[in-house]
Amino acid sequence: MTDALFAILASAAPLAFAGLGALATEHAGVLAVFMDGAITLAGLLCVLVACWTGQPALGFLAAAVALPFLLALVAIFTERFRANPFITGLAANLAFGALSATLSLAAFGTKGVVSLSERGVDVSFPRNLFFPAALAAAFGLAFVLKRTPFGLRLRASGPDPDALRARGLDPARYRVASWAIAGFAAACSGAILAFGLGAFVPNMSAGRGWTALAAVYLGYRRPLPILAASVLFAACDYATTVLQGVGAVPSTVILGLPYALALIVFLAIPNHSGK
Amino acid sequence: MRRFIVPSGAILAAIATIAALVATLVLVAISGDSPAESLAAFAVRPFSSAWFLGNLLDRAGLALLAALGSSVALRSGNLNLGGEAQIYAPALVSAAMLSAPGAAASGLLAFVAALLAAIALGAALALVPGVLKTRLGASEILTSFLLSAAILPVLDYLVSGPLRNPEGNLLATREIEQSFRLPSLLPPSRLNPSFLVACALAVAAAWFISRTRAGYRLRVSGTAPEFARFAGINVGSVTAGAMAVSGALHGLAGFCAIAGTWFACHEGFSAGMGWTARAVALIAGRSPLAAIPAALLVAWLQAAADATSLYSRVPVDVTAFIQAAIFLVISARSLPGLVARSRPRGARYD
Repeated sequence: MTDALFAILASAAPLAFAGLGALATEHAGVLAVFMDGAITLAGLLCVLVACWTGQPALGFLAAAVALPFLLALVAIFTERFRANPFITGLAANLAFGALSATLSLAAFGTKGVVSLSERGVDVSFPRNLFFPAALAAAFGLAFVLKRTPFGLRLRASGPDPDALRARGLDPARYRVASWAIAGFAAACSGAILAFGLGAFVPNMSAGRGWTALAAVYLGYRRPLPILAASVLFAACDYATTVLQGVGAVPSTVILGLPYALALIVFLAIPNHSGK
Repeated sequence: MRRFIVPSGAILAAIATIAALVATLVLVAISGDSPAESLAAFAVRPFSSAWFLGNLLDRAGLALLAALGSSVALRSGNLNLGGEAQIYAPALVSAAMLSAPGAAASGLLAFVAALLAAIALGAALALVPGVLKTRLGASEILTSFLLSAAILPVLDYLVSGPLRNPEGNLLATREIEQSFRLPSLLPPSRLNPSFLVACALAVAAAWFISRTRAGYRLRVSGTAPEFARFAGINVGSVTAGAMAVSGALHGLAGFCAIAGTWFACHEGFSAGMGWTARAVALIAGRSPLAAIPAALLVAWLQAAADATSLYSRVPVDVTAFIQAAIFLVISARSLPGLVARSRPRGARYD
């Protein structure tokens, strides 16, 4: 029983980080449709740099720098050309996914699984700390959004940009910042997935970026409820894995569940930026 | 509610084309061991034999069919992102129907039944997001994508499980009966009459959109929904209808891919065809006729990238990068300078 609990909490952590990142852009009026591809790219960068340097920490650092940078670039493009963030986000999602596959092939010569331990990287990570880290991040984000001037402005940048302009602030800067925060969250999520498995797996996010969007709405756009929603989704995921082991559900069909779940939540909960 | 309006104008189309070309060329150049050789193969190889050329045209024809579907949705102010499942599911149904034991005995009847089933299924899959938009106000962009993504694994399961050919080693259905296969126009390639059908439909779509009353309602609902409502047009049913036609054309592409090109449905059948079609539709902008050269261009880029991957270490998934580049360009509301001036009917969201 405790094994199941630990497994569920561990698999909730990457989902929670993705959800918290998506919450940041949600406040800026942007649906984080880039999240899924961003997580996969982050996972790949972690494994890539960890293999080059032998240091997993440097792998995480690389992802934590690259993803916010790349997403901020897309955000700046979006603001500069007044583009539709939904479409540029989808473009980023596509490019990140394809970039991950291309980089994996270029660096490792395979489109398949890249194992860290086979390449001499120490893979003894403190897996028990993944969920507490997500918990800390949720508290941290809640504090920033609620109690700091930056958080207040970020929350105004989507629904009420004129309020910021009236105070002489540029709402676009806060929107760009929200993409960067989402990028950092994607880096955390990808790192947890990659180091949790001790490997890079093709299409590693496996729809988690989309489930995370559903978690944002199920969690009523508040950090701690989002964490709870992530645990709930992780528990459902655990249950289907068990059913799959028993042979009650074909394993391929389960790959579609994150998308079906996201679809249902979007339809059931009105008033979000996806409309 | 966001409406997606296709930017018009030759300049934006040109920029999108250039973006696609540059994205592909850069990828091909950096992925090969010898860029010069890769680029040479890139330009020449697709035209080097009847086999390559015929398959290129065949690919363009399938992309054109689905692109016309994507285009109809775009003109009505809707972005249909469910193309993958709308091609794959009808393809699977056609393959299952045309390979069923005894299907050959019913001859033409079975062929027409499969064709209609494929079109109806494609239409139904796209109608769902359309109705969700009109009834619940849910973004068709999001719901069409999620619906498709949720269905694709189920289709993969059916192909590799219940509908799999038990005698074959591949994860694929049985091959369809010989009598149902569209003949090749350019042996040994797979070019078949569906290419001509696609071109004819492009002409028909251009006529429909610019010359008929329904086409007028489509255009007005797409560019000026408030005005359309004021003029007594039921924008909701235009949206639903346009989405259904969009899905029907994707379904037709799926049927033709089975009857003319592959003869069996394999796992992961759509393989980005829906995304390719949308790239074609976005390059073509507002004109269904422009979709013909756009389809040829994108098919050439893909065929060329495939040809180079024979020589290079890294086979590149160009379609995704092309699509990303085009999305970025097309989504920009105010590209500075020249595009801004050429944009009297430009991209706009409300």
